[in-house]
Amino acid sequence: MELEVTTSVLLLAFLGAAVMGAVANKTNFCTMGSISDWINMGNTARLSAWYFSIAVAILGVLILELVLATPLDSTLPPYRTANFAWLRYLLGGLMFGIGMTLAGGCGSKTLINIGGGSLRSLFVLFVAGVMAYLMTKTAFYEVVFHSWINATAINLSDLEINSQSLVDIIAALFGIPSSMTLRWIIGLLVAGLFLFLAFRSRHFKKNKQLIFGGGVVGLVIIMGWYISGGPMGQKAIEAVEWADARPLGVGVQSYTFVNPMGESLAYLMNPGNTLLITYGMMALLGVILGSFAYALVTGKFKITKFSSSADLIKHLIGGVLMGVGGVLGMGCTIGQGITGVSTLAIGSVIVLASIIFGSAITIKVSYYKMAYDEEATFVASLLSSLVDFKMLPETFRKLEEP
Amino acid sequence: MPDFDQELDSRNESCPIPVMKTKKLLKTMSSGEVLHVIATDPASVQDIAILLEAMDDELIEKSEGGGEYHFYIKKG
Repeated sequence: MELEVTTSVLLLAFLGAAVMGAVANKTNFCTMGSISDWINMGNTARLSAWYFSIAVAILGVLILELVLATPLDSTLPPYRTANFAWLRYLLGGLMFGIGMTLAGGCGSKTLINIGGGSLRSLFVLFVAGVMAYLMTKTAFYEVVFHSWINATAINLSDLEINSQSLVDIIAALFGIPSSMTLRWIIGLLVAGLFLFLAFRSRHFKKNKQLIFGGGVVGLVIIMGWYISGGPMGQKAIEAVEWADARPLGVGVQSYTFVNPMGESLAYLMNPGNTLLITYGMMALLGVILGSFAYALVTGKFKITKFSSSADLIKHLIGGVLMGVGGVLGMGCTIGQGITGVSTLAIGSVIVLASIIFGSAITIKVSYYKMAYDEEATFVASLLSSLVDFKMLPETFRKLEEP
Repeated sequence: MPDFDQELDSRNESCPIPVMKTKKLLKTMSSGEVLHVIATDPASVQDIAILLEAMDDELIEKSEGGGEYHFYIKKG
């Protein structure tokens, strides 16, 4: 029996995610861990693996769009939208960065940890899922955020800029057409910049495992775009347009993990309705099962739980911030940090930078508090951390660097 | 199992807590002393290796079993 094209797309999304889950588990590809290595040890090897996957994904998107004519201007979520909601990107990224550090990992790492037996991460998934559900399926976002966040958004169309793609912005600034040549030049330059950032780390250059991990994650993101935006994906979109009962979330997309946490919750509330099964949900399930298979085969599966009630509260706050921030910022370290950035959307770059900053400052503050045996106040730790990042002058320092 | 001077039980704590606690404790120890770290987060294997490279301390023994990781670190 021939599978319906929409089902085939979902199955392939699942397979790609399972590969990502297994490889990320094996190579310890971890965005939050990479920021921790950088802040705590000055080691940028894992951060470089992240940069490498971004470079690979950008190069892949160039080929998909300019050689294979895969349409990526209109995607789920709309990375290149002309509605440039800069405050939403900043705040969402910051909240997500803080949240993932408190919760012991970003969206994908939470799923990888669940595959490895972490009950804490299962709890984080539930909490982030509840918040993502509230943000996307109820009036919560409208009531709490919409009026003041939307008021700051800039409609780029009013400035005669087609989208927030770096290519369109540069084309408008210089009054030149957004041609194929310009797309190649800017895409190659940005990919080259990320490759330079990756390979300037001597630790990354000699670590084949990290190069493999970063490369595979980047390739899976490209595969995600091709599954949903290539010939099969286009057939699925067309089939859904003519369907009487339309499944949710069919469109051109690649991997992202926070919104699907809310979608999963919506499905679990109504499990008989298979139309609620989305691409993102299959991605979520794929990462968990890929990681689980790897953990099982290698004997690394172990049930881990909370170490204390304080640990539980920390993960609870982390999950709330991840769910709210991930929806506000329209993605996580993978969803915006790689998938979004691969489209060269400026908003994705802002979210990426905000996530990194939010995580870095949380790690710094936590270390100050730990080093001073929790006697240091939050404000003193925060000010001293900002001085360390050279964002405040030395006169603001309240604590000596431990 | 080597003798050790201090022990850090970081079981059921997630990245980056075990490595941050290890870093803090190593800074208080004297050269030649040994720290025994117990962790359950698989990420601690890579985290601690990176920490030791940055701090010039030496991993004298590492073992794994039952989902637990044991590190014996000699302060440099």
